[in-house]
Order: sequence, then structure tokens, then C-alpha cells
Amino acid sequence: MNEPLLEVNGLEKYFSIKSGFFRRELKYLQAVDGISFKIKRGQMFGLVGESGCGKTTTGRLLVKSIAPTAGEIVFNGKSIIELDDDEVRDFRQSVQMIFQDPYQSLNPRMTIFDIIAEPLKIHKIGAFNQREELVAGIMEKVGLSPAASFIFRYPHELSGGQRQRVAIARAMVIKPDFIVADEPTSMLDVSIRTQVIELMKKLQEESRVSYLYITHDLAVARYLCTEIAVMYLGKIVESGEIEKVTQNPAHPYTQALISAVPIPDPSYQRESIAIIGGVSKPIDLLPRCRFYDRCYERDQHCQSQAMPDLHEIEEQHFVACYQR
Amino acid sequence: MAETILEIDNLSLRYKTKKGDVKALNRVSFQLEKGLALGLVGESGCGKTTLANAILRLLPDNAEITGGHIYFDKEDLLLLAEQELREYRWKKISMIFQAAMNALAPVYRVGDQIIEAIQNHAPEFTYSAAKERVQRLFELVGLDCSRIDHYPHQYSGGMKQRAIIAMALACDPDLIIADEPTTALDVIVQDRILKRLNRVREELGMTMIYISHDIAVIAELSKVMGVMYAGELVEFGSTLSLFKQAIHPYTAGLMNSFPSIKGAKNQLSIIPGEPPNLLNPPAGCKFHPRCQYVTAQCRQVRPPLYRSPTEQQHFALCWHPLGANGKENDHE
Repeated sequence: MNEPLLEVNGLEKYFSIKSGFFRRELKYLQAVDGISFKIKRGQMFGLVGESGCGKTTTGRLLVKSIAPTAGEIVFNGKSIIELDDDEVRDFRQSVQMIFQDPYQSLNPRMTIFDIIAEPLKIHKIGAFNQREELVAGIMEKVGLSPAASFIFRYPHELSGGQRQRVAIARAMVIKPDFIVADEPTSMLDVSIRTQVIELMKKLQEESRVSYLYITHDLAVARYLCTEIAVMYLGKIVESGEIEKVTQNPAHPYTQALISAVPIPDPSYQRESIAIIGGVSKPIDLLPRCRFYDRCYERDQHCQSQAMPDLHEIEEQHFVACYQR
Repeated sequence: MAETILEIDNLSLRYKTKKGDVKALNRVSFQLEKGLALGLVGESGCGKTTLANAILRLLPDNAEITGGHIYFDKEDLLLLAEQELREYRWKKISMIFQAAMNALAPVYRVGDQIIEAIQNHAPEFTYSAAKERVQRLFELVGLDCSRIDHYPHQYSGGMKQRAIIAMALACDPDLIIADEPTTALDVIVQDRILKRLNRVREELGMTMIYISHDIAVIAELSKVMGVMYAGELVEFGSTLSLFKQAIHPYTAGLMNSFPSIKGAKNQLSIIPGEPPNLLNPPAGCKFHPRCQYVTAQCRQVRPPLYRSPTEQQHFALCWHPLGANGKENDHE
């Protein structure tokens, strides 16, 4: 039981970009640059960071939608990098993805029934009339009820919240072991967002499916996840048990990030840590700590040494920083 | 009692569409004291942006103000002709629009764009005087003065937003309306810009209306807040009072919809259903189809104004105000 469902070791993804005079210069954008983590069965694992930190690329790597430059992804005890066709089909059946934008991720020409039943067709699960039952069942579960009133409608007839419920139903209908959810609530309005958050929480508790929950919203990550990894320019700078990381952050970047989150309480006096500059692009990086240029605790050692590795500073709490 | 700078009195507005009238604002009334920051929260389509645009009459052709008054410094803006209103725009009231950073023209230097805005509204400024003013504005919003001659593509998103804020401050307005000024930005940049905006507001003693869907941002920035739902201002009062004792069930639900990074991990409360279509809004209280306290009265008659017993300025539109008559408040 303690054996992880998913294990990532030294995962890298470089995108080549051409720049310079006549675009003859070839450079690499180090979107994901050697990250390692484990997701347990039935766990909601949060991956947080700002735009451009590589969290979405990581999600796409894990569902095998793009191929890594280097590194290893072990799913259910098996490396997913080199699978034969049958194994790929099995893998695709056990891994699903939920996207950010429910206005773009659903095919506008398909009915709700066809959208949700599509994974069943692809994986040849159930006869036609059984599929109808399966689809209706999952629709009731995600709150699209009565299912009969939705199945012949098209996405444009649905609200944003309902569309995201359709996306969740489509992901859940083949009973996957693992779901990558990439900012599934960031396009939704407040009251609808809470409904979808609670829905995902409920479904996760019932089905024991594992989630990689990708988000920029630390408060939502804290609410939903049991473990979290914080990314900065393609590297994980801090990870561990959710309360340890969010309540007692150790890495200067995590500290600054968490201190910048507004608190919904007018009597709370929040002190934010000011850091200089902005997030740059992970191109032409010097072989040292990614956060060096903006860090307020850097010293000589940080300047001359390579990027620090994650090390345990207390039980279930890891940080990649020479100052800790 | 401080001076009232802005008073909205029974303002109603509709958009005419092919499918019928969208009742975007329905009898909105409130007063704003000079020098205060007001936060307006609500979900998409609740009318918060329409309200902001109505103040400067920056409305599309199909919009029609069907009733009410907007008093700014005791002058009814709705009675002014378009030409007269131009005198108010930018000079007395300026606006920071949603995703305004994409509004900078890509082929002109950022500094020149602000100079143009200044000279347009205050022709007495010479080019060099205007440029000096831009330098001061850049310092105020925390941009390096060497950036004045740069083009927008050389700016990051956060820097563009600062430039837009500088532009809004250019003519020393009395009131700034900021409509979701940081929505597209990352949290650290958002924090920096909001802090800066708030500091500038305090330094210059400006009044500000801050529009956001994020109740946490409103909680931190504004002294008074208003909650909008389906075209109505359903609750209004000091931010502290609203957070301590929300009167309207929608406000209470909204406050429990946001997880927090600090403090105890409370269960979020779900407001069932979705906001109504304003082509055909529900009768009575607009929130009644989603409200747990709904009674027959709520379905038929628009609720009366209920004032908080502890704070006179704090009011809500509700038949069953929370906290009244010893009623349990979910929020506490």
C-alpha cells in the first residue's frame, strides 16, 4: 500500500528555440530541469508555482502527451517512457487529464453524451446500452442531474461550471488510477469554483484516485492537497507535507510566495517579503541556484555552487537551499 | 462626518439585446466618503463593471440608464452633456481597466503614450513639463525612469500594469476606479502592485473604487465594501463590519467560499446553483433560488433595506437578515 503509484526521477524537458540573426542560433528552454517526486495511491498531490515555472509541462509529461528529454517516470511499477502499443493503451486508460479552460477542452460538435462516452468507446468498455448507464451514473455523481436533461445537449448550451463537470465526468468515467488536473478551477467564478473544488474532493475521497493538482493558487492547494511541491524555473525548490510547507516554508522563494497571498480577513496584518525582479525565462541559465538573482539570503557559497538538491530538513519536509 | 465624494442614487441600467433587455443594474444606491477605498465584489455578470463604466458613462450604445442619479462632488453626472463629461474623465475620475496592460500601443514608447494622455486632457502642459510629470509618476508607481523611452514589449506584465497606473494618476484625479487591475498577474507581482497602488492612494489622499472577484484582495485593501449580485448591491458597509457579521446570506456564503493560506482549515460552504440570467431575473429577491432561508415573501417582493444594529452605514437587501432576531450566522 505504501508503494507509490507514480514515481518521477530526474525528469527533464528541454524545448529547442531558435533565436539570433536569421534564427540560426539554437538555444534550449529548460522548462522542466531534473525534478523528482512520488505520488502515493489515493493522494491529492499539489504542484504549485507561478506562470512559466514548468508545472503544466510536468503535467503533460506525466500523461505522456509529450516525451521527456531525460529522466524516468514509473507508473504502477512500470516505466512509461518505453511502452509497447498495448501497454500504452492500458496506460491511457488509467491516466486522465482535466484542463483549465472548459470552453476549449470540449468538442463543440459533440453532445454531452458523446463527450463523456468517448473514452469508453476508445477503450471498448461496455456495450452501447451499458455505456448509457455508465455515463448517466457518472453524470449524476458530478452533479449533472437529471442526466437525461443534459445528454443530448451541446457544450455551448452549458455554463462554465457545468462544462467543467462534464470534463470531470469524462475523466472519471473509465475509472482511472491517476488524474492530472491543470488549474481546473481558475476559469470559474467564485461560487462555481467552490462547487467544483468540493466535487473533486468528494470524488477523490470516494474513488481513491490519485491526483496531480496543478495550480497557482496556494490557498486552494492547501485546502485540497496532502502533499505539495513548489516549482521555480523548472526545479522543485521545496516539497513535503502540505501544512509543513505552507505554514512553515523554508525556501526563500516559498516564503516570499506564501507571504504574498492575500488573506480573506480584514483584521489580519500581513507582512509580505519583498523580492526583487520577476520570473525570467529558463534559457541560458548559469549552473547555480535558480533563485540566486532574486534571493535575499544568498551568499558567496550560493554564487559558486551548483543548484542545491532537495534535502530533508524535518520529517516530510524537503528544501533545495544552501542556507537551510 | 467626512465629505461624500460620490453618491449613487437608485441607479438602474439595462442593455438592449436581440433577446430582450438585460437588467444589468437595479436600483443601486450607496455613498462613498472622500479618501476612502471601496471594494466591490461579485461574480461575473453581477454588474460591478457596468456600475464602474456607468459613472464615466463609458457604456456601449445599447446601454440605457433607466433611472437614478450619480452625484460626483454634488454634481449629477447623468445631467451633463458628453462634452462636459469629458472634463471629468481622467482629470477628476480616472479608470484602470481590466487587462489594461494590453491596451498600450506597441509601436509607441510608453512614456510618450502617457505624455499624450496628459497633453490631451491638460493642454497647458508643454512636452518637457509633461515629461517631468511622467518621471514623477514613474517614481510613484515604482518604475525605473530609464524605462520611459522603452516600448511596451520591453516591459513585463507587471511593469505594463504599473505604467497603466501611472497613466491613470497622470492628471491627479480625485477618484480612481480600478477594475480587476491585477487579475492576470502572478501572486507576487499582484501583491507588489496592490501595495504600491494603496500607498499612492494614501499619499495622494485619493478616493478609490476597487473592483475584484477576490474577497481576500478586497479584505486587505478597502475600508468599505459592497457586494453585488445579479445587478443589485445586496450588501454594503465597512469591511470589518461585513466580515464580522455579514447580513446577506450571499455575502456569508461568499466569505466561506475562499480557502485561506493562514489560520484554521475550515470546511468551505457551497452556494448551490448558479447566478441567474439577467434577461429574465427571478422576481422578488434575486438570490432566492439559491438561498437556504427562502420563504414565500422572498419569491415575490424585493427585499427592504435592513440596517445593521451596530453600524448605521452597514445595510443589506434581505428579508431574513443574518444576525437579526438571534438568528444563527453561518459565518461565525
